[in-house]
Amino acid sequence: MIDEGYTLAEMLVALAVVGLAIGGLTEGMRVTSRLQGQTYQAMASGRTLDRVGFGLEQLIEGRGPFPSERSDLFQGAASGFRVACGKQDPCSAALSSQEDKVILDLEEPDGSHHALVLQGVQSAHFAYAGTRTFGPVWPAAPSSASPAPGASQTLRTISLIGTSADGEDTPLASVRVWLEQTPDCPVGAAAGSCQGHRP
Amino acid sequence: MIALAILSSTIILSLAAIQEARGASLAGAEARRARVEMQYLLDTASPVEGLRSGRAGGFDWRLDTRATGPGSLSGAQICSLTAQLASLSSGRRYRLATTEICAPPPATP
Repeated sequence: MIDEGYTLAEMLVALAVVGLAIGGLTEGMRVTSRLQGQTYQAMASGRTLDRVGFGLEQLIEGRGPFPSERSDLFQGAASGFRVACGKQDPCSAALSSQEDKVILDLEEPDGSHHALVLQGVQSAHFAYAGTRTFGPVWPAAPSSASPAPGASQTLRTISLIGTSADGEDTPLASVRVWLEQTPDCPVGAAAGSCQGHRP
Repeated sequence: MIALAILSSTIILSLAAIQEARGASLAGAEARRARVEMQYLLDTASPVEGLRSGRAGGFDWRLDTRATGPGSLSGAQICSLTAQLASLSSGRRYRLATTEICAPPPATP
């Protein structure tokens, strides 16, 4: 009779080594999965914010300047803005909330709608920086910063600001508006502003 | 034993690669947030000479507005605006500068 095989101690050692290997592998997979999830989350959030910034830029590109006395060209509130974009209904950006999600709805010049979910924020609002004032409404109401009721200023920047769960405000996108006339826009000598885009 | 060594090496190297990828993606996201934050600071700052600072969005920020020349026209002058951020988590520093028409600092009594 051949007496070959493993002793009980060898078997136990082998089982322990295999157990450790499987345990390590499982833990490694778990950590891998967690890190991958965090990486994906960070990249998805960045992609969404890039799309938000790009979408806002597309809405106002080549449509400025927006003087404060021309509310027919641009009207802004904390929840969104409307901008004349060459069609009957103005283009718009509007914020809304649905089931703890903040959604930015963009209506493009071609009539298409894009809904973008703003991740990582509890709420969001727009703010408008003019050449003299900064606030949640455009055209800005007369204030101590611009005491003269008829004082004209031009919109400089549209900012989308998100509020996180701990109440901290963070700018999500900041879009600059052209302060000068676009090359295809004839300037009215009396008004000193754009008199309509050339076809 | 050899199989075990190969397996553990694979796991360790995979984890290291994923950790690096995560670090790179977080650095990219931080750089993006810093750019938006600096652009926001430059665009919304009141155009008055001086130094302002604060803390927001995970950054220490500092905004410096300085006249670039001695000349002034009707109370306005050309200023250089420099926004600097330091990340509270990674310690990385960011800087963005532009020029703007600004007003001289208010006179002190």
